[in-house]
Amino acid sequence: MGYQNDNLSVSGDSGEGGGCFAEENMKYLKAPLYFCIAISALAFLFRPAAGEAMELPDAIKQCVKCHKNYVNTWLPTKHAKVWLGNPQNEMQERACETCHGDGARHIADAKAKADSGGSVDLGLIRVLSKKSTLSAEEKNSVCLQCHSGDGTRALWAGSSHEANGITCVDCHQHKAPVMAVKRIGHYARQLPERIDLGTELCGKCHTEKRAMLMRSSHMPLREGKMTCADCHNPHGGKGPANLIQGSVNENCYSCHAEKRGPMLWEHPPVRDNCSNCHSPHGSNYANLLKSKGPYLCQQCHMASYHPSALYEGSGIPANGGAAKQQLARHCLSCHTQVHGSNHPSGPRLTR
Amino acid sequence: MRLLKPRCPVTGRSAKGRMMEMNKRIYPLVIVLLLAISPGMAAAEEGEVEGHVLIGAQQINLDKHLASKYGQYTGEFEDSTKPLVDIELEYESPDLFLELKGEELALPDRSVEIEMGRYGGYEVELKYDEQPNVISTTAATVYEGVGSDNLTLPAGFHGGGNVSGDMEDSLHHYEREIEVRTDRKTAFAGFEVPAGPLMVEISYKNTRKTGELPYTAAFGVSGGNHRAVVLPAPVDYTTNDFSASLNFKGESSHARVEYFLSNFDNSNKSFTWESMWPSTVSGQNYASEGKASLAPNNSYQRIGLSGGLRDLPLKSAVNALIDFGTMKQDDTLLPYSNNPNSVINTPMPRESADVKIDVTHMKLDVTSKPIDNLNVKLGYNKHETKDKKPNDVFVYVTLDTGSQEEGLDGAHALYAAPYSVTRTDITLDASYMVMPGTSVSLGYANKTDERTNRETDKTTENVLSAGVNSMFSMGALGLKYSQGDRKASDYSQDNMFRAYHSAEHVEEELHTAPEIMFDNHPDLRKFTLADRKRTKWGANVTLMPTETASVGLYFNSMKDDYNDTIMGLKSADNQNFTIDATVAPAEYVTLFVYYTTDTLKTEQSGRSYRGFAKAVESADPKRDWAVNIEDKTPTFGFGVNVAAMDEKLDLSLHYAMSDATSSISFTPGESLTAEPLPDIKSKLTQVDATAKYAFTEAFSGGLGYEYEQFSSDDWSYDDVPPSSAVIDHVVTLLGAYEDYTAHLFKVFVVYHFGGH
Repeated sequence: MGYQNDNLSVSGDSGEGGGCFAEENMKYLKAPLYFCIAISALAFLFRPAAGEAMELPDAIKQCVKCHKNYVNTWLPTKHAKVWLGNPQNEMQERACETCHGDGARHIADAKAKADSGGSVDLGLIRVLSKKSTLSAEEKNSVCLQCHSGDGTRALWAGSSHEANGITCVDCHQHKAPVMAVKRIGHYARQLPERIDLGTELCGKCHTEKRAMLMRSSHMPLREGKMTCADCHNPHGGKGPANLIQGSVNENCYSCHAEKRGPMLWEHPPVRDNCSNCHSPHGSNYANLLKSKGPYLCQQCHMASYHPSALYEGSGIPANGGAAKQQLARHCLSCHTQVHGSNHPSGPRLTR
Repeated sequence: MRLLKPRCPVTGRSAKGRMMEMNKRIYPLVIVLLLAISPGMAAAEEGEVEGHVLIGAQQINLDKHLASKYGQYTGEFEDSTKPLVDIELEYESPDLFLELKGEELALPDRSVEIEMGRYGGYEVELKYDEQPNVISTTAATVYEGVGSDNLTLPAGFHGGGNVSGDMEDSLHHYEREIEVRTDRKTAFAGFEVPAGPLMVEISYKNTRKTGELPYTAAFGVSGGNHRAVVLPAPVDYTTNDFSASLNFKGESSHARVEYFLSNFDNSNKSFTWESMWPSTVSGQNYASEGKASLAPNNSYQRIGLSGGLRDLPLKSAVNALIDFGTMKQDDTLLPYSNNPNSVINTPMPRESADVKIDVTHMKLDVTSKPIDNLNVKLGYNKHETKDKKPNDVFVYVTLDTGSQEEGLDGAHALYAAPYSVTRTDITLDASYMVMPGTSVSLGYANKTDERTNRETDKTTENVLSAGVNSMFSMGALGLKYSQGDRKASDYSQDNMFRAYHSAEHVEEELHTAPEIMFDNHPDLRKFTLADRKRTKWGANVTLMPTETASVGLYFNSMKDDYNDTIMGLKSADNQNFTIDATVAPAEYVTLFVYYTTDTLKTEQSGRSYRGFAKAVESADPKRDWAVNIEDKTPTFGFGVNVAAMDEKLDLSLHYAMSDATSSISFTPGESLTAEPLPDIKSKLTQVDATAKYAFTEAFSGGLGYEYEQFSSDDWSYDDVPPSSAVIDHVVTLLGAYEDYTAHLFKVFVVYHFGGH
C-alpha cells in the first residue's frame, strides 16, 4: 500500500527499504573505512623500530628467574608500564616488591628449599592468588597502599563489599591489561564470552541477577551496551546497594532525565522509588514491571468501579472479552502519564 | 501493507537517515582528534603501538519478516547482510598512552572510546555511543505526521462513535505499519589532571534521544463513554550533563568538592492529535482535537562535599558526604481543556508549573577495629526530597471532554499537593573472626521514612541480622539471616482524601455522605507504606576440590508478609537457587555450567464495588476477591572454551536458556465470578559458537554462528492486533512480540599490528 504524508511519498521501491546490497552497505561501510584508514596510518606512523627488545629492569631480574610466566603476563599491564618506565614514587620503583613485599627472605628460602627439596614457605611473601593465606583485609591493604581514598574508591571503607570480605583480586586480575579489567561486564560483548557476563565478575556471586538478565524484558547488559558498573560502584556507592547516585531514582535519572520532573502532579510511589514498580535487573513483564498489569496497579489502587474490579479470564479475547483495563496497556489505556503529569487537568495522570 | 519508517517532520529523514547524518559528523571528528594529538605523541619519546582491526561480515536470517524483540537493542531486526568493523589501538610510551576502541562501527549500536594521557598525569576520555531501542516493527496506525507533535487523520477517514461498520473499514483501509523505536546517541568528554595531592576532574555528556513512544490518547469522563487510540508520541530529548570536582588525597585523608548540572530539554512540550470520534459520545461533548503535555524541560543542580579519614585510633576510618541539590521545572501549563466547548468556570491558579524539589543527601560511615578480630561499622544515611511547589487547587477537566465543574466543592477540585520524603537509615554492624577464615556477624538497622500528604506520615522499620562466613582449604561457606519489622503510624485513607481534595469538597462530603468519604477503600494498605514483616535468609557453599574445578550452590529467600493488610498486596515470597560449576580438565579447556531457578509468589486481594452503590458494596465481603500470581523462571547455561594448537585456535560453544511461566489464579467472593486465565510464557534459547585461528602473528580470522529462538504467550497482547479495535473502545498501536528463530553467521579477519 502506498502512503502519502506531509513530507514525502513512500511507495514502490523508493525510500529506506530499496537499493541493492552493495549500495545499501556502502553507506554503512564508508565512514568506518575512513576511520580504519586513519587508524592504520597512525599505526604506521608509530610503528615500533625493528628488533627492539625490552630491557628488564634490575627490580624484577631476580623474580623473573623463577616466575617468568607471571612476569611476562604482567609486563603489558599499565602497572608495569608506569612502575618500570615512569615510576611516580619510591614504592613503585620496587616493582614486584610493591605488592608482594620484601623478596629477600623468600629468595633465600626458595634457594634453600631447592637444595633440600621442601616446599617454599608462602608465608614469607605476600601471595594474592588462590593459594594465599592472607585475610581479605590483608590482601586489600596491598592495593590500598596506592588506591585508597581517591576517585571511585573514596567510599570503600564501610561499603558492603568491604564488609563482606570481597577482595580487589576477586574481580581485578592484577596481571591483566587495565583496559580489560576496567570493563566490568563488557566481557559480554567480546565474542566468544557473550554469556560469560554471568560466569565472570559480578554474576559469579550475584547469580540470581545473572539469571534475570536473560529475561524477555531487560536492560541491554547481555547485548554489551550497559555494564553493572553503569549503575553500581562496586568500590562503594553513595546510595543503597552501592548505587553510584544517592538514591535509586537519581540513578535512573542519569539516563531517564525526562522522568525527573518534578511534575505538577506527582505519582508518589514513582517519586519514592522507581523499583516500587520496576525490576531493573530483568522481568518477565514488559517495561521491566514487577508484576502484570492491572494487578500491579491494584496493589495500591482500590477505588470504586474499575480500580476495584476483578480482572479475570472472561476479559480476554480468547474467552470473548475485551476489557481495556486488562489488555494491552491495561490501566495505561487511560492513565498514560503514569510517571507524573504536567497538565493542569492531569491529576489522574491521563494527560 | 508497507513498513513506514518514522521520519523527522522538518527534514523528512528517517531515524536511520538521522543516524547516518550523525555518523558523518562523528567519524571526521574522531579522525581530526587523532590527527591533532598524533604530532604530540610522535614528538614524545618513542613508544609502542599495538592493536588490531577486524573486518568481516555478518548475515542474519530470520524466519519472520521482522522481529523487533531480536533487534531491540542492536537495531538489527530483519534479514540483512552487514559489514563488521571493530578496531582497537593502544599506544604506549614510557610517558604517554592512548587507547582507542571502536566496536560495531558499521552497525546501529556502534561505539567509539578513546582514553589518552600521561602516566601519573592528565587523562582525557572521549566516548561516543549509539543505542537503539526498537519497541515494535509491526505497530500500525492510521495517523499521519508520525514523528511530529501533531497527528492528523487522513483525508477521507470515516470516524464514528463505535469501531464498527464504516469506521472499522476506514481503520483497515488507512492503517499502515510503522516502527516504534527510540535512538539514543551519547557523546562524553572527560578530563582529569593531578597537581600534587589535588586532582581536578571535569566531564561533559550530551545525550540525544529521538523517536516515538506509545501514548494513549483518550477522551471521555468515565468507563461508559471512554474512547481511546494509542498513538506514537514524539520523542526528541536532549540532556546535557556537566560535572566538575576538586579532589584532595593525603596520607590518611581525602576530600572532594563537586558540582553537577543536568539540563533536560524536550523539543516537544505538548502533543496534539485529531479525534477520530464524533463531537458527542454517550451524551458527552468530545473535543475535535486532543492535547497532552509531554515531559517538561527540567534542570538539576547539585553541590557535594565528601571526605574521609583513615588510620584513626582503634584502627578506625570515617567517610562522610553531604550533597545539596535542586530539581526545577517551570514549563508553561497548557489550558485545562483543548476543547473550545469546555466552559471554564475557575481559572488556573498559576500559568506555569513552578515546581521545585530540594534534595539533600547525607552519609556517614565509621568503621573500626577496637580489638583484634572485631570489626564494627556504624552507618548513618539520610536522603530527603523536599517538594517546594505551591499547594494550589486545580479544577480539572477530564480528557478534554465536557466542561469544568462549577465552584471548588466538586470532586474535580484537587490540590496539586507537594510530596516530600525523608528517609533516614541508621545501621550498626559487627563481625568477629572466631578463628582464621571464619567470622560471625550481627547487625541492627533502623529505617525511618517520613512523608507528607500520604496515608501515613511515618513508617519505621527495625531490622536484625546475623551471618556466618567461613573459608576453608577446599572452599567457602556462608549463611545469612535477617528479620525486619516495619510499622506505619496511623495509616488512614482519610489523610489522603483531605490532603488532595479541596477543603470545600471535604466539607461537602462530610455533610452529604461521610460514610463513603474515601477514594481508595479504607481497608486498602499500599505495600510501600503498610506494616510488613520481612524475612530474608540465604546460604552459599563454594567447593574447590582441585585448583581447576569449582562448584557453587546458592540459595536466597525473601518473604514479605503484610500482616495487617486486608486489601492490597498481602504477601510476596521470592526464592532462588543456583548451582554452577567450572572445570578446566586441561590447560587449554574450560567448561562451565549453571542452573538457576527463581520463584516469586504474590498474593493480593481487593473488593469490587461500584460508585452508585458505594456504601453497600464497599462493605460487602461477598464482593471480595483474591489474586495469586506465581512466576517461575528456570535459567540454564553451559559453555566450553578451547585454546588449541599452541593457542592458535580458539573454539567456544555457549548455550543459554530462560523459560518463564507466570500463572495467575483467582478466588472470587460469592457475588463475583472468575474464569481462569492462561499462563503467560516466554522462552529464550541462545547458542553461540565461534572459531578463531591465528594464521600468522599479524593475521587471524574466524567464523561465528549465533542461534536465538524466542517465543511468548501473553493474553494481554495475543489476539489483539495493532490498529485494531478488539479492545473495548481502544484502538491499539502495538501488537504481541513476534516469536522468531534467528541465525546469525559471522566471518571476519583480524589484522594485528605492533606489539612484542
